[in-house]
Amino acid sequence: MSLWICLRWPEASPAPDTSATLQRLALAMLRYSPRVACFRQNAVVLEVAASLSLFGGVRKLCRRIRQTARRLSDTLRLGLAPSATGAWLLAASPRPAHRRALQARSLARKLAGLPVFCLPEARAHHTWLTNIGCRKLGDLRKLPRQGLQQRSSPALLHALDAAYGQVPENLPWFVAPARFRQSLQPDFHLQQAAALLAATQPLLLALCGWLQNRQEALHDFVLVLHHEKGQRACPPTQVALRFSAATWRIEDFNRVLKERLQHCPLRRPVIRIELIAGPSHGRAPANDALFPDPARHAQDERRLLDLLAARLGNVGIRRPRPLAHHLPEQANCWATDPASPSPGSLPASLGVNARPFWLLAQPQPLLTHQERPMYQGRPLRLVQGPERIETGWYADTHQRRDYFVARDPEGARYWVYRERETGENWFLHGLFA
Amino acid sequence: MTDLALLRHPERIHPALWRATQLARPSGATAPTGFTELDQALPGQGWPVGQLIEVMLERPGCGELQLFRPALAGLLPERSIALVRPPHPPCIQAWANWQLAPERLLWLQPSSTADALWATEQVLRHNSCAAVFCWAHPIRAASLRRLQLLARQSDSLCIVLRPSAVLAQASAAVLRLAIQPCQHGMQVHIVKRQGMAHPAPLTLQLYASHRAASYRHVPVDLSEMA
Repeated sequence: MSLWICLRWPEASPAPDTSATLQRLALAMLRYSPRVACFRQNAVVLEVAASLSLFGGVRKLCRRIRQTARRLSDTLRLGLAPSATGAWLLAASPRPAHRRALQARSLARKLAGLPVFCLPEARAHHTWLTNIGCRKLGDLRKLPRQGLQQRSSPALLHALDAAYGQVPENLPWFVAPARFRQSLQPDFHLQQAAALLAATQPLLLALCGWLQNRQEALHDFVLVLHHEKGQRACPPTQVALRFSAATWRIEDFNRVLKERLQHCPLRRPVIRIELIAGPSHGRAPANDALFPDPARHAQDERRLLDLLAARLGNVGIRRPRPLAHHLPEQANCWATDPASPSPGSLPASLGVNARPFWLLAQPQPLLTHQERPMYQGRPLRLVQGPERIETGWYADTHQRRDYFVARDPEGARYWVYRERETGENWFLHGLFA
Repeated sequence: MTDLALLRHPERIHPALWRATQLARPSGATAPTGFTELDQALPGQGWPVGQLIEVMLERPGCGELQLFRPALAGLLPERSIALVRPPHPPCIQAWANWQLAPERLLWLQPSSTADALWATEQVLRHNSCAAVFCWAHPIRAASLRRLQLLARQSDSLCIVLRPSAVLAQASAAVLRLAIQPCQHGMQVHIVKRQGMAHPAPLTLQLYASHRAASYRHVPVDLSEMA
């Protein structure tokens, strides 16, 4: 048995302006069922019989679909029936209790109470139906079938049968486009980040539905914010989002997008939002383990890094990528790309305190007093060393240094070196933390 | 049991109660510090995990990381250790010498204090790092309180390092330490802990006191150095 859910705009409210809104709704609904169709220019129907057990029953599924629909449009109404036309008719019912029917019998009972002109095919026979006193769909159903066939059009009879679920409906299924590129014109000119984020929700929902339908995931997408045209026109702002791991959940998109939008300066109000998805890839199947998964931390960390990169930029996040080099400042290399670090090459481990934890970005020249280096007015006493480092003879940066561990009178330890070239030049290069 | 006996042992009424002469029994986990005398001075015999720890020091380079080195070695090896806005570039080689995996290090360098606090909050919220060290300064009392609340929801070691000028200010951290270098190590003064006041600073030895073994390369004229 088939079960249909219909989301439609009521006749009273303005119909969706273009097919774009319908397409967005259909894309967003692809996450609940692969069998989605645009229906009669103001609705989207989806066949959900196969989705019931996945989403935990018809009530939970309806609740989730309604939550999604509410984020796309406030005026959407949900109808549930064993036939698509029936669901579409019930969705227009003024009483919420009459919008759902699980069985053919309850569908017939609820349809019988609806005005006959709910069915657009009946409007062609308005005068005739009014004159014979046929006001409800139930009245129309009770008329002798043969007489109805002779006096009205076959389309009306077919629509009536389809509504009661007595003939199969051949619907053109909605086919998701191969590439995702959708745009949306908000009702207002937007400039605030929170408003922009809210206005982007329909596009993100459509994107997630599209990804779910194809069982794919994204590494990046671009949000193009178009500004007002005219004298003070300026080029659209591009907000590019990158994710270190393939992502397909709207929560993950939203967290990163929120930070990006909050720190994205907008010179002019936005009149149109366009979302262009990057190349999508197949996603790894979900791993549900009984025990806590060690990979969970890695997953959390990737999410964290995406979020941090959205606000701090890539330069704010650094990962060790040591180089095999004798000079400490050359060896201490930090990479700023968020990808996971390569193992790097470290020389064999030295003594525990052979290197200080703080390595100054620039060696700091030290004054000397009675041939002893001074730091902040305190004489330093050498306690360990020297460690001779001589390298770069093949290039311009020939360095000949003798490194010592020094201690000041208070006991703090420093890593200092003496240049052998010039004799008595002392430098501070690190602090033992 | 009489009322008097109950009052004599308030910790039997509720684990959050303790007498002013006792150390509290922390509700969460603790990580051993690796220093016996420090373990004995801390409630729960170690660093409180999922609580804010505040370390105050005069200047960077007092041994502040070495204080936590044994505890870091005992944390889960697959979780990162975040350093938020450290005062100087961290040395990867030093980290490796401590037998800790360099790829666990995550250096975050936000451009402002507000961003640094935000980054620390996000690290705690995601709970993916085993430990987070934050050098943001200045921090308002409200921000410290936020950090403490977020730390309680995570199971990371959360350490805020601040200059010793803030010693007199109130703080939401459950454990406050003031450290300063001394001969062969450091002195740790426990400013605040869940328990009675700590009488005297502890001295921890970080460096070996003998020097002879460390001269491996070239003999140096010791009289010149002295």
